[in-house]
Amino acid sequence: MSLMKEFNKGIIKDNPVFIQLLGMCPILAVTTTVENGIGMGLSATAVLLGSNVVISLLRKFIPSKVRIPAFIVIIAGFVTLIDMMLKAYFPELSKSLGLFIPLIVVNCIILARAEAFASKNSTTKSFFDGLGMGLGFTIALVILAGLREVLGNGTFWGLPLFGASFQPALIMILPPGAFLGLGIILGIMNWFAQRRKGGEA
Amino acid sequence: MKELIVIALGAILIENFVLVKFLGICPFLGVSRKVETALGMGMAVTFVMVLASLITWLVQTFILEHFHIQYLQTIAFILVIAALVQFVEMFVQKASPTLYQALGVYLPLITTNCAVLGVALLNIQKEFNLIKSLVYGVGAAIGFTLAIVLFAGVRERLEIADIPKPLQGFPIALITAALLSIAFLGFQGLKF
Amino acid sequence: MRKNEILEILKLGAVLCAITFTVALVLAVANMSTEGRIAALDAKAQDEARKAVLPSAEVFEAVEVEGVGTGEYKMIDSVFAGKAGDDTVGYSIGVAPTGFSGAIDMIVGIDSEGKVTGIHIVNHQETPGLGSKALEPQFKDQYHEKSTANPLTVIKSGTPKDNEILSISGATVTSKAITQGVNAAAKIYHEQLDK
Repeated sequence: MSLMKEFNKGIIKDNPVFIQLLGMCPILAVTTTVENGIGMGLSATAVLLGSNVVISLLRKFIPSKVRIPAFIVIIAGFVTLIDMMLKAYFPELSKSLGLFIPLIVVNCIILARAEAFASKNSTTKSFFDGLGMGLGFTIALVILAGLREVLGNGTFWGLPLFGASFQPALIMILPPGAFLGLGIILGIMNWFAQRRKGGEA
Repeated sequence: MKELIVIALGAILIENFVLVKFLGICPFLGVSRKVETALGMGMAVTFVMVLASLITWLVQTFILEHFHIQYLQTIAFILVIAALVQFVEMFVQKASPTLYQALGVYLPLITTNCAVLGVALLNIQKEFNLIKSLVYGVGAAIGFTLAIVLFAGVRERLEIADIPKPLQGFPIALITAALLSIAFLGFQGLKF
Repeated sequence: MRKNEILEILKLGAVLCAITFTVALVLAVANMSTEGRIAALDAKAQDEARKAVLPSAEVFEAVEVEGVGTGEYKMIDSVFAGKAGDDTVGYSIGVAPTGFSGAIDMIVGIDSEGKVTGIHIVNHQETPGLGSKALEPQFKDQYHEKSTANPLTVIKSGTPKDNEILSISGATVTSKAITQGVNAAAKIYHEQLDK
């Protein structure tokens, strides 16, 4: 039951992107297509799972004075591992995500979970926490990528949605579209949250 | 010489690290409430970024490539940056307490600033030599500082503007960033 | 007291070293098991790309051309001669013009009559949905059968003539860069290879 809670919280209540506002760089940079968004989300989830599990296993062994460098080394290790796997088995995805795979190392979500959760909780709990946070991150990526791809290119997952006469709003695919899209999504979420609060009061 | 200017201007304007390449977004959104703090963060990042460009280039050339262990690049670079940040912090504290007071709070945050690791990795990816790496590092840092200071300037005014409630805070900041980013898109046509 | 501090520091160092060492060891093993596959994938992709731009060739041999990568031939990465039996049927030339956001890695096929047989884009960072349209046949196939006797130029609208290429709408920089790449390949072909 409580494990479900650790899993669930990352998806909605403490969503790392929409609520905690962490991991902004990849969120904005790789959301030009849904495919990239999912690739990035799953890669980060894999790193998060691995680092959460290993760090929680070693939490009694790592002295607190050197915990941050120790965490960073472990995270960087997993990132390099994922990087190699992608290059060997998904070369296309690896190419389109490019620089942002090694940059998962400095994704604040992963270090934040290591510091705030995995270093204090059991391995099973940390596993579910990592899974939930990772999925929450992936969902956020997919929502923003979906918005940008549909509006900016008229496709979803590469499939055209509209007829040939559709004129896509190119700005959504270009860098400003990332800021604009995320701003609008957050605004809509705030609007709903405030309306619900207003209804209760 | 012309090539160096092109690299620097490219990093500052055409491929601005924050607004076009999306590197260093966390501090860009996090420490941009006031122009003063934004400037402080910009200076701290500039300091670390230039040193990081230099040292990671040396590490890559003389250690990683020499021993054929390029696959340890990510780990090596992040450790260099983390150590560098720590070192700069201690050095500045001893050498100039006033500067430390101004920059102190931002220094630890720089380790997880992806613009710094980004510059280090891009230098290697673009196969730059030492001079070009340094110029690229300086350009990227100026680009970062320019973006964050401009953004902070706009945000200071937004504080007193009448904004619809759901958009207050983060959403309007992002929309502002979008407008800034559009402005920087204009530099794309810049050709030499 | 002093001794304790030193012991403490040594212990911290030892723990960090142990972690770093283990991580490096794991990565070394992972690197060994993926390295071969990555290299093979790369080689295969390149070979397939060369075949795609020069279908009449059976095997490709690297050609050494002086000055590749510098000066006049700055854009050129590599030159391969396509052979069918003993005959050279054409060349596949790797070029890297600068596009909208960074270098576009591409291969141009030119047959022994000096006609473009195809282009293939290996790597690019162009804007998805705009510059990335260069990968689509609608744009790419325009280069087929173009003569390389005169440099190609890009037009923004209208019906392209023999030595003209219709730009991708909204991605003129990318279109121009790719055309530049083809022209650079044509230049080295006429000056060095077609003798």
